[in-house]
This record gives sequence, structure tokens and C-alpha cells, in this order.
Amino acid sequence: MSRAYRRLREQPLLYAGGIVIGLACFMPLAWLVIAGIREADQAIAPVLAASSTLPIALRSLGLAVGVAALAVAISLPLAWLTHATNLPGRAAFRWLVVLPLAIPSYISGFVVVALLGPSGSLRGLASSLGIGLPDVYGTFGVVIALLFMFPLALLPLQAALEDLDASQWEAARGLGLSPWLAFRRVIWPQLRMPAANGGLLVALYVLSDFGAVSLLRYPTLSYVIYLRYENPFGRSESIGYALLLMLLVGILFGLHRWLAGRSSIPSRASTRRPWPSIPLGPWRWPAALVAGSVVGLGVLLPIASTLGWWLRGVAAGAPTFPVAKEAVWTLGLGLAAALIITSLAILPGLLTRAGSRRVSQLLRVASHSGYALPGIVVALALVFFATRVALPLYQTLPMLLIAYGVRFLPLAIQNVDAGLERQSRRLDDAARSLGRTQWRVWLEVTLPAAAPAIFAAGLTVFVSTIKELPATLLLAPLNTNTLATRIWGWTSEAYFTAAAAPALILVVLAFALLVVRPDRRRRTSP
Amino acid sequence: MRLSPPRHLSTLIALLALTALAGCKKETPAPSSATAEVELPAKAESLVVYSGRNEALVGPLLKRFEEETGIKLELRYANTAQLAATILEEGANSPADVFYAQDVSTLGLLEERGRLAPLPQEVLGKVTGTTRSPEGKWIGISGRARVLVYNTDKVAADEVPSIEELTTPAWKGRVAWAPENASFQSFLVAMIEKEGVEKTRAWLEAMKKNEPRAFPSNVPLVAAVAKGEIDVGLANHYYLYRIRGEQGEGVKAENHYYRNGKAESFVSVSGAGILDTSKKAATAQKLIEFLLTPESQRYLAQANFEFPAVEGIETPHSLPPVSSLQRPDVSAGSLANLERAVTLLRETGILL
Repeated sequence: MSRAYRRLREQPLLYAGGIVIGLACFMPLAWLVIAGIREADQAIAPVLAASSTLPIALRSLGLAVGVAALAVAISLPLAWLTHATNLPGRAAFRWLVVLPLAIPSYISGFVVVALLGPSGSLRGLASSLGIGLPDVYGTFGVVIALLFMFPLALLPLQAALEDLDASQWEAARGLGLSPWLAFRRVIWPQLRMPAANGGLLVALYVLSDFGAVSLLRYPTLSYVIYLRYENPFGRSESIGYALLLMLLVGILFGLHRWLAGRSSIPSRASTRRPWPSIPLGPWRWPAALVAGSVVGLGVLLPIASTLGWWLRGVAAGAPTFPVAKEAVWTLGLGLAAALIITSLAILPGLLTRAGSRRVSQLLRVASHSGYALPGIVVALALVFFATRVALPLYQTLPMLLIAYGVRFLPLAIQNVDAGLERQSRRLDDAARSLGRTQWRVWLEVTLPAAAPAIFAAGLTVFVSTIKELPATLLLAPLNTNTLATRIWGWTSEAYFTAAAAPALILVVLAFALLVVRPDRRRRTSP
Repeated sequence: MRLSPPRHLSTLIALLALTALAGCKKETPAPSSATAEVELPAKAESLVVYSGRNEALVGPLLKRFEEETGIKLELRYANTAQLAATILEEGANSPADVFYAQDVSTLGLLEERGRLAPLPQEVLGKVTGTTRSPEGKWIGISGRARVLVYNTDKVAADEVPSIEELTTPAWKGRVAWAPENASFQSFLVAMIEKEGVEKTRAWLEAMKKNEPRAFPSNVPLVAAVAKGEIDVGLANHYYLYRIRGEQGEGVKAENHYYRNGKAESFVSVSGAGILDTSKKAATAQKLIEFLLTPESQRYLAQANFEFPAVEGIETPHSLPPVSSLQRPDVSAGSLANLERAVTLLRETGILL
């Protein structure tokens, strides 16, 4: 008690900030509990009684874990190839492979159906090669559509690699270890935690997704929750399903802890040596083909399909509308959310460093409920609280940013955490013994050293924000449209030509942010 | 002493947040200032409208209302059911004055929960029969007819199956439907009212055995029929017009209107109501009256290929006359039967 009190006196702002953020993040969960208690017999009992509940829950969990595992399996080689090898076009691939993240699921679903559906061009290509693809409606299609989110796992890995010291690898190789063994013994232990963090983000995203699972007919808990909101009779039940979803989040957290393992104390040197480029030998071009097909399938095909809709529509005389104002709103909201949320996400990491694991752990767990719950649940929870305790804020810009914070803080936390975890605490101690205050050490040493991770956090939040729909639709200031709400509006009424321009601009915005990403190798070592 | 003032980071965060907010404000003029450029009377009236109807469908019409009346509209466009859920969460603090819903069953829900204010008889009188609430708290604005959309390469116009034939072996795996869609559920409501619960259940079970392909909404359904990925689909009529607009007149799909006075000839209705918490009921009424003027009704028919709710409005040639539809005499907003329909869908395992 006295220790906690002393720490509180040392870092009042840090603690106060942590508690405020924690409370904000608890809102969706608190609303669920309030509503669950209020309507227990309608909300909980039917969900527990339904024989379909357990299969749906298991299917959701299976899909989340499966897609997360696949995403990590794709990300790990891609991250390594684009970081440490002589892959052709390595620098370009490094950011191109992140771009599939910018394709919203309400677009990727349509693209997957268009390409892999019964009359899809890719299906035709595959069958002419003698490959019979499974039905797009079902597991196959939904996994493909959700895999567009794989860069959630790639970004933390890229940031971690960026932060690694090449001398370890060189030493391991110098001692005669094969490349594979050197990777497994020296590199992998340091990638385990970012890989697990990224995997968790993918899994939580899959739990929350509605667009892909509804179009491709794969019943998950989120799908059922949305269904219950579609008519007046199931609304209470959706609360029960959402509480069940929180249980799955708990399971995924346990899994994450077990997989992340105990993170090894980093041995990062204060000076960084530039990475060698490991020759791939005969595998150089096959590797490029793999990286290229990820970019082709995840970026070029969706863009080409969208362009195709646009050209066909223009030829048929379909209307298009200017979206400049929406683009500016989208960019502004995305940047504001990225800056604010990433700044806030540093707090739990610092709290851990300040020695308060428990507070920061609580904060982490609380924040993840907002990300894993379907957007509509989070949005309605915020509607409930805002109209009761913060009416002047309701439907204002700050309220919308709070909503983005509640939804996307975990994205930033997972990335920043991985970055801060790698910074040796001895550095803190050393600097403090030289008379620097804790905050100066953090500001001058720790945070700059974690810059790649912090940038990855900002990027993930930015891309997620510009695609966000449910909270934007219900909580944005009146008369406000973003690119995402335009795309939603137009595609849901089959105005594909009109939707093409905002969809392409959305991808370009994500692209633009990726280009300004800091690249350590271009600079000389500090 | 280790009392380190944590000012730096907090100032940094505060600064970042402020610049972000300020930057956002600067770059993006608030929507109010954008519309304020239009010359308005000093004390401009305004209304908050929640629209479950898409901006692409009703945006131009609402803009015309602003221009003609000088009343400023503050709009929120979103999914109808989610907006209704929002209004219920907002409770007494709801800022909304008018709710314009894609499907009047949602208005029926708000009416049942006591969230709608009564409409005056002069407004209700603009439409007839089942296009308005029996309680007088919502009114229909326009309609979408149920059709069987069929691919013209796969099915000849004189071979279009009846609803009953869709359950026969010949149609196994060839039918698309959208059981989650409000209009589909309204069609079931009509079937329950005309044929009874048991006949409806039997039809649903026979359909399910025939392995129809389910779509989450009408757009991907009609698109799939147009592409020939599936032969026929139960849908609303106007998506085909949209897809023709997008893909040209060569689209190989047609609508079949059953015109038999039964459930399959049902017309889903969009409508509007005034919130019980609105303090601007008189202004709100002006908007609803505007939507029911002959000009607005004609706009909905010509721009969106919708069926006008007001009688005697001429419709485009590509649209069959409303009077020819032979729609069943069924109330569109009947909540009790909607609940029965949803229960049937869940009991038969068609809906989760």
C-alpha cells in the first residue's frame, strides 16, 4: 500500500492518466454488464439455452485462432525476407506488403466474391490449371477475406526486426550456426512476443468482424450479434452473445500469454549496425514471387477490381460524386486519432516500467474489450453513456475521437508495448544514475529508441480509423461524411461506380502514410 | 529527491492532442459553416433527422427541402435498425426530431415503445389503408415491390416459377434469398397474414430443403443473379434498375412481378415519424408533408424507381403502374406478425 502510494506521488499524472483511460475503455464492458443485469432473463437465459450457442462460440474461436495463425505464418517470412535478405525490390516490398490492411472488409468481401465466386476470374484460372477451389461461401472464402488483415501481425514484426542488432546474427553465423538455426536461436526468441501480439490483434479483429462473415456466410458470434440488432426482438439477446464474446477474448488472452512466453531481456546495443543482406541464392526469385503474389492478391487485384467497377460504370453512364471534403475529414480524423491514441498507448508501457505491472495489466485487458466487440456494441455503449453523463459531448468531434480510442487503443498498445519491452531497463537506470529524471530518460532515450514500434502503432490506428464504420455512422457530428461512410452508403445501394473513388482514395491515404514511415537503415546509426 | 515533475510527457501529449484537434478543425470546416454560406434567415429553423434511408436515395430530396423552406437539416445516415437501437439507447436525451426509416416495421417498434408522437390527421390522410400506422404515429413515404429476379439466360420469361414451385426438385440449389433482410421478413409477415403461420412454416421448411443460397442483402443477391451465378432470387424490385445503371442495359436479368394479391406481391414501405422527445414537432411535420408532396413523390419514382405512397402519381415507363401490382391488403408495420416471422425463421434454422 505504501509502495503504491509512493509511486502514485512520484508519477501522479501517469497514474491518473492510466485510470482515466482505463475507465473510458471499460465503458463497453460496463454497458454490457448493466444491460445484462437489467434484462438478464431475456439477455442471458435464451443464449445459454440455445443449442447453437456452443457451436457458434467454438466456430468463432476457431476462426479467430486459425486466421491469426495463418496471418503470423504469412507475416514472419515476409518480415524476414524484406528486412534481412537480398530480395529483389526489398525496400519497396517492405511497405507494399502492409497495404492490404487498407482494404476495408466491406470491399475485400465483394472482391473475394468477384474473383473466387462461382463465375470469378481467379476460380476460372485455377480450374484451367486443374485446381478445384472450395466454395467461396464458407470457410475458404471467409478466411481469404479476413486474411486481408494479416499486416496487423506483420507491422509489429517489422518494427521488432528494425530494432534488432545485426551483430547477434553475425555472431551466431560466425560461430558456425546454419541460417535456420541462427534464426531460431537468436532471432526468433526476440520475435516471439511481437508475433504473439500481432496474432492477438488479428484474432480479436476476426472476433469483431461482421462484413466478411455475413457476405461469405460464416456464422460467428459477431454475426449473430448484428443479426439480433436487425430486428426488434433479439436486441436483449445480443447482450448475452456479446458477454460470451468477452469470454472468448479472455481465452485468447490466455493463449497469447502462453505463446508470447517470457520475453527475453533484450540485448540491444546502444549503437546499431546496419543489417547485412543475406543472399538467398537460387531462392531469390521464388521469394520475390511469393512477396509479389501477396502484393498482387492483397493490393493490386482489389485496386484493379475497383478500377474495373469504375470504368464499367462510367461507360454505362452511372453517376459519380466529388469526395474531396470526405477525404479531408478522413485524413484529419485518421491523423488526430493516430496521434492521440498512440500517445495514450505509451502510458501502460511506462506504467510497467515505473514498476506498476498490475495497473498497466488491468489497463491492457480493459482496453481490449473495445477492440474485440463488434463495432455496433461499442457504438451503442458510447451512445448510452454519452447521452447520460456527457450530453454536450454527444455527436461532437471529441466524442468521435473517444470512440476511436475505445475501439483502437489495443492496436496501439500491442505495438508500443513490444517496442518498449525491447528497450533495456538498464538504460533507464544508467541515465537516472547520471542525474536525469525518469521522464527525461523516457523522453530522450526510451521513446526515441522505440520509434519504429510507435510508428507502427500510429499507422495501424490510422488505417483502422479511416476504415471505421459503426461508430463513425452513429457518433460522428451530424452532417459529417467520411470516405468510409460514403463507400458504405454507395455500395449498400449498388452504386459501385460512385464508391470506387472514395475506396481508391482510402488506399492512397494509407499508402501516403506508409511512405513517410521512418526507415532506420537510411540514417546513420545514432 | 525523486520527485520528478512529469510535465514533459504530459505537455507533449496535450500538445499533440491539441494540434491534432486544431489541425482537424482547421483543415475541415465544420459542416455547419459549410451550409451556413447559403443565405438563411437570421433565426434559421433546424431539424435533426436520422435517416435509415440511404443518402444516395434521399439526399437530393432533403436538400431540396432545405432550399425551399430555409429549414436547415442536420442529418445522420446509418442502417435503419441500428438507428432505432440508437434512439432507444438515447432515451429522453435523443437529439433526433424525425426518423426516416427504410422499413416501417422499425417505426412500428418505436411506436410500440412510445417513442413516436402522433401525426395530425391532415398528414395521415395523404396516404391510404395500410401505408400508415393504425395508431397514427408513422406514415409511409414510398414502396419497394417484392419480385423474383431471374437470369434471362437461365430462365425464360414464361417459365418463371411460382413461390410454391421454388420448393420443387427442379429448383433445388437455383434460388437465392436474403432471410436477414427486413423486406424479406415483411414478405413473410404478409404470408403469415394471408396463409397463416403453419402454411408459412411449411413453405419455409420446403424451401430450406431445396438448399437456397442465402445473401446478407439484396445488392449481392441481385448482382449474383445478373452474373448468372444463380438462376433466380427473391428480392426487391429496384436493385435491378441500379445494377443496369452500373453495368449497362445488357444486364441479363429481369424482374418478375407476381401480381396475384398474395404475399409475393407485397410492397415493403419506407416511412417517417416524429420522435416523442422532439421539441420541434411543427417543423418536423413540414418535412413529412414535403416528402408527401406530388413533386417529392415523383422524384422518388423517377430517380430511385420507387413506388409512390401517395396515389395518382405518374411513374416512369420502366416501372409498372402501382395499381397493377395487386398487392395484398396487409399492414406493413405489423410488429406481432414480424415477431412470428422472425421466430419461424429461427425455429426452422434458416436464421441463426
